[in-house]
Amino acid sequence: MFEPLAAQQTAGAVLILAAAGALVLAWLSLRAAPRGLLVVGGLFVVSLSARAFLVAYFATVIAATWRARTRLRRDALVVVLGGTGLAIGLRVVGAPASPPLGGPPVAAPKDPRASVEAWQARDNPWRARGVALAWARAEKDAPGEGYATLAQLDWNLGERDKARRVLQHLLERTADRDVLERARRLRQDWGDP
Amino acid sequence: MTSARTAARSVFIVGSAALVVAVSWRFMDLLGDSFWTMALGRTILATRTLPAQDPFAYTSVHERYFVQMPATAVLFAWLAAHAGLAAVAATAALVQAAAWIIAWLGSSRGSRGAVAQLVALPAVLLGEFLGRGDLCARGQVFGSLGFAILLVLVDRVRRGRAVHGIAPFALAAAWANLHPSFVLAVAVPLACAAMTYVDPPDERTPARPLLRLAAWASAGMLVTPYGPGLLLDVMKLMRDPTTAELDLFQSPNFRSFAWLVLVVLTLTAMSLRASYGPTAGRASDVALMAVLLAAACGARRYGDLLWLTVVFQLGRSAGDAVEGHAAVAAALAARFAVQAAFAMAGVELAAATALVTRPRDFLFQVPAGATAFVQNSGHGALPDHVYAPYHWGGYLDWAFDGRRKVFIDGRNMLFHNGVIEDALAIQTAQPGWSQLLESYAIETLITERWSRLEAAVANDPAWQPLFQDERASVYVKKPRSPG
Repeated sequence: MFEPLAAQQTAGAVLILAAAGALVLAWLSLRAAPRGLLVVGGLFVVSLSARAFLVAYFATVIAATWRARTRLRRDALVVVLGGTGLAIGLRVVGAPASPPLGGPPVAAPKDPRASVEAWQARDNPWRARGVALAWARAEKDAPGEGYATLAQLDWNLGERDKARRVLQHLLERTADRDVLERARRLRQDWGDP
Repeated sequence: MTSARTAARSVFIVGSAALVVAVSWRFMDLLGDSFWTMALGRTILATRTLPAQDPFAYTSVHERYFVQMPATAVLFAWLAAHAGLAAVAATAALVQAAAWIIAWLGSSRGSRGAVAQLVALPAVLLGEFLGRGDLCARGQVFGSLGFAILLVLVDRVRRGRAVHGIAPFALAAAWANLHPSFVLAVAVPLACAAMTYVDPPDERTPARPLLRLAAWASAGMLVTPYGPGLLLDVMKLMRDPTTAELDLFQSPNFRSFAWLVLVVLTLTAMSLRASYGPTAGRASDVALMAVLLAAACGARRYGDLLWLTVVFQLGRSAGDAVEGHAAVAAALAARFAVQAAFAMAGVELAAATALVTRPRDFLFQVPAGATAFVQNSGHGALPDHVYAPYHWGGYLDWAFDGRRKVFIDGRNMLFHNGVIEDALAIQTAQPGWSQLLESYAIETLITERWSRLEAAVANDPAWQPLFQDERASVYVKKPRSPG
């Protein structure tokens, strides 16, 4: 209730835009009433730092606008209200809908293959490598697809020595015939060091 | 007597301008953004071409790279190479001060110019002082200068004065090559044209000259090495989610003293304009300030533009207000005598000299010692990759000089693949920070002293401390024991 407004939340941005639009209306309505301007200005400042005061601020502006309705030109009202509405609409439509992409990997992904693909699709091969690393570690003494994926990603990232070490480990210890076949193909593609 | 008054006013203007420049110089720092800008310019000068791929970071997205401020990058790099870092800071200070001075002098007109200047000068100095935390040699200083010139051009057009099309064209062309905020050269005249409809019909200034101004500026902003491509890239930057993550593009602290001063001055300028000065364009002037106020509430970056507008409008309205009260004007004119003007100029020049002659350390804000240690620790260079926080990455771009690639730097748009969020998670030592370092194959850390990351790393046996100074520490990953 008494928190400051923040434009990073869509609701906060909408309230800031509405408050600025109301400020113009107040200034048009109260231009010959310095005390009124002082009250509205003060409420505006306080509302930004404690949103609970927005109720009093908007109520004051609405009252001032209502009292000055005969003096206010219709097209001024249309421009201020239309402009504020347009700005709010653009803010709501334009607000980034996607959640943050990154963030720490607090838990191992349930489907590491899909997670590797997702990070690659996001153009972040390093995070894909991180997933493959965790995947390979989970395979422990039975190296399989996790090791093969890690070797491939390390190679693609230019970490050639690491990639060869991982591949060698895989070739020596895997019991999975498909993975062994894939590892042999990789060794053939990469050639000798 | 008249010539003496004219001379006194000129001396006052020179003294005040010198003080504005000196304050700007005193607080002008070189931060990460300054250094990646220079590093980029150095690359352009060395290769005589604009890089098509990001030359610095190993984690950035694999998209075509647009150099968004090619002229700034080349200018800063050239200055650094030929005259040192002080020349870069001095140029940025001059440009920033020029923006303030243009807004300040632009606020004065006719017989009440001296009053306008007297009233607006404290606002200028306050604005400089309270905004000192964000002051840094980067393209943004050219953005401020472009905006101040635009304010004057728009004002001239709105008052019915002629502005040749070449002026907005040249402004937008220069601005487009100096800072991504060049879109304002078109947006502000268009917004002013729309806002003329807030004024009653008999108080309305014509919108057509503003539209002409915007049209010339639209043509000018296409004069870049990329043509319209740069505009599209800047639009992408504006909409990029990583831009909203930046501290500069978040709401200011509404409970801070700096914000309180700015908003009170804005409301004062709006009130003065609502009551004094020509009736033509009165409501739209107020509306323009409200729009900028809303923008400044949304992002600290726009506070700078609001300050310039407030200085411009405050001086002008104060002059108009005083003219409406002839007795006050006469008293002020009598008191603001020749001797007083000379005395003020003397004080200003003395203060300016004191500020300019204080020694400066342009590497104060960056990990210069730690980076040099990473390059040569006494036992050779430390292993790649090197982590440094987001705001220090630009310095690493500069110091590594192409010998190594960095984890991240201040060019947010290149890291919308999750790297920004990961960098923040590492910087604040969130759970999982060590896995992130491993994911990005980071073997060496440059951490801020007393940071959460430093505390976490210091307690992690996998990392070994090697270097420490007052700004930064260096840790290197210990080799895994066999087996």
